[in-house]
Amino acid sequence: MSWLGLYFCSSQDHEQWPQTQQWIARVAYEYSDQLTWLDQVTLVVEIQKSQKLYATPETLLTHLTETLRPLRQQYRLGTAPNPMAAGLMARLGTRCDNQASLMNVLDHCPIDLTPLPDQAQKSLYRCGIDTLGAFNALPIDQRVRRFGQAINLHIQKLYGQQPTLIEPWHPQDQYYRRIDLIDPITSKQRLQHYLDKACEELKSWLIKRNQALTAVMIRCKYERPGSANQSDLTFELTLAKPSFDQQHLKALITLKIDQLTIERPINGIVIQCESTSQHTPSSNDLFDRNQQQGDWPQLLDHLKARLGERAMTGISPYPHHQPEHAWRWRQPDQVNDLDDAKHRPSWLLPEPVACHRDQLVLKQGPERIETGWWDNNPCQRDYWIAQEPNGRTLWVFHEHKPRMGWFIHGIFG
Amino acid sequence: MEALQQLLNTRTDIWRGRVQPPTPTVSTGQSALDQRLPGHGWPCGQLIELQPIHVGCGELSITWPLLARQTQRGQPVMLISPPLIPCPQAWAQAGIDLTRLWIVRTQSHSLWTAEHALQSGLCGVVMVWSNSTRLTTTHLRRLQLACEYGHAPCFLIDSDVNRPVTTFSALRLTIAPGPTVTLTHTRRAQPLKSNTLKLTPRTLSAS
Repeated sequence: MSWLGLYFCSSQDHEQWPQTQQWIARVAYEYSDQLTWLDQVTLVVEIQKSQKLYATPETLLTHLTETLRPLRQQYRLGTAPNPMAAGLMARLGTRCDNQASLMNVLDHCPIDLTPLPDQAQKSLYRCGIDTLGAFNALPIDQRVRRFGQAINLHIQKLYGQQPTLIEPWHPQDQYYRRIDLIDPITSKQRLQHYLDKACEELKSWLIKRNQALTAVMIRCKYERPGSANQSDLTFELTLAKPSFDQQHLKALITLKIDQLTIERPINGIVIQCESTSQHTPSSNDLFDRNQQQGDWPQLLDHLKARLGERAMTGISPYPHHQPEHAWRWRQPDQVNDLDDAKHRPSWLLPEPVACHRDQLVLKQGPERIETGWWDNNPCQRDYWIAQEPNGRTLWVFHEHKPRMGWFIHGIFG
Repeated sequence: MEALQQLLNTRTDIWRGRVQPPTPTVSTGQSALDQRLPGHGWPCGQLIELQPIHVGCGELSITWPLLARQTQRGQPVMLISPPLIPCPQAWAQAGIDLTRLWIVRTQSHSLWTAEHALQSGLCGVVMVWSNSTRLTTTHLRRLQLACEYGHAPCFLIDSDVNRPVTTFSALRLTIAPGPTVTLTHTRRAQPLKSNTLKLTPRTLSAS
């Protein structure tokens, strides 16, 4: 076993640190699934298994350093045969690839450099023990009696004399990424650039979690919060079919951004997503004739991104006794099947429009509709199929209640 | 030779000298109308302009049989910015599968939507209403080019009297109440003879 420790030395007390921790852990997760935060600033990663991928440990370290570069954090690296010691070696910036060299370093390590609590360090100093080696030279029963089991166990773990149980870190179930911009952005091109980069990261997160994307929420924060009528620039993309197609997502984002106006400089972007594991990875089967069907959701996404979520719809019959309420906008897959043999026009007007009776030739009717008497909302109408002077066939009604008069309600197209 | 000829006729992308391959067509579902149209049906992958004198004077009764057939085959049909609300009961009675019917409610982006829907090659039929958009020759050419990506006929419905005279569409039909259909433009060189056809409700139901 070989462990790599990372010790982040710049001050970590700001509120962003938990998210940065998540980001760092996600990067490290590419190298190993055995990793954990020993404390707030020390991450240890098991690298033995992934060393086969890289010719030498140096290649792995260079690679990791490159990936962590955009973070602009100061950190030190250390290696050791066990996770506890790897944490300490990272603090010291020392690399021990085998047990012998670790023993050597630990024996000379001053007590005040260890992550032991201050109280423990003081009690060790008071007894003249200033290095780990001096402590380890004491007989084991004395160590426990004089300094307590906790300190003894900690130091034994450092030496690898006791196994360290670690609880491996796992990527979070919800993707949440916040980008703080030092230089506020005002142009759509730069916003696009940041979102494209975020897409790449999102894709790697999805693949690692074996998830497919269903929706992305993007919130762009304007500078100077707290001022009046302040609202963030937010938009949402919903995918008709779960996917992790990065190109498709980028195209949708471009369409969305085209519609936006950036009113004030943006200094922060928050990206959240909904994802699902219920998906079937695409198979590019040469003989699959239904390949085109798979593109239909993509076309819908594309149109919805430009026109808005509600612009793409289907229409469904709805059981209601008043014809103007007997339909609903609904997605085509949720359309009701309603068996209604009544003769209806092909087009309905959004609202019945008043008309003159004398210009119409009544052809067929009447169909009486009398409803609402039970809830004091009476409606009494006689529907007719009528012809206009220009030859067009209309669906008209003569209303008795609540209004009096003739109205056009539809057209037989 | 006959078989080869038939095979070649199904392809529009092979150059055959002066022999113009016939455009593949689909039946309108009404034999009276089929007989009048070049190729005996709606041309596939082509733009067809319908010009009703008033909204709802017959543009649906001549297209419904095709829409019904395409939706029943599982092909999506897209209505882009229809001027009124399609009555679902009547459309279902005409045999249209409402689970395949998509309505795009947009005013300003109707032609953009039509172009994308056609370019995807996934729609069975695209019907687009120009409404207040003033059509230009460029619009017609772009739509015709987009049509050629797929096999779907695209119906462009406009009642604009100032429409461009030059057109890139395969057919242009004027519709008067009745419906009375007049063929005002085809790509054929020979002049149009007896191009007005009155479709009575009987001819419609007989088909």
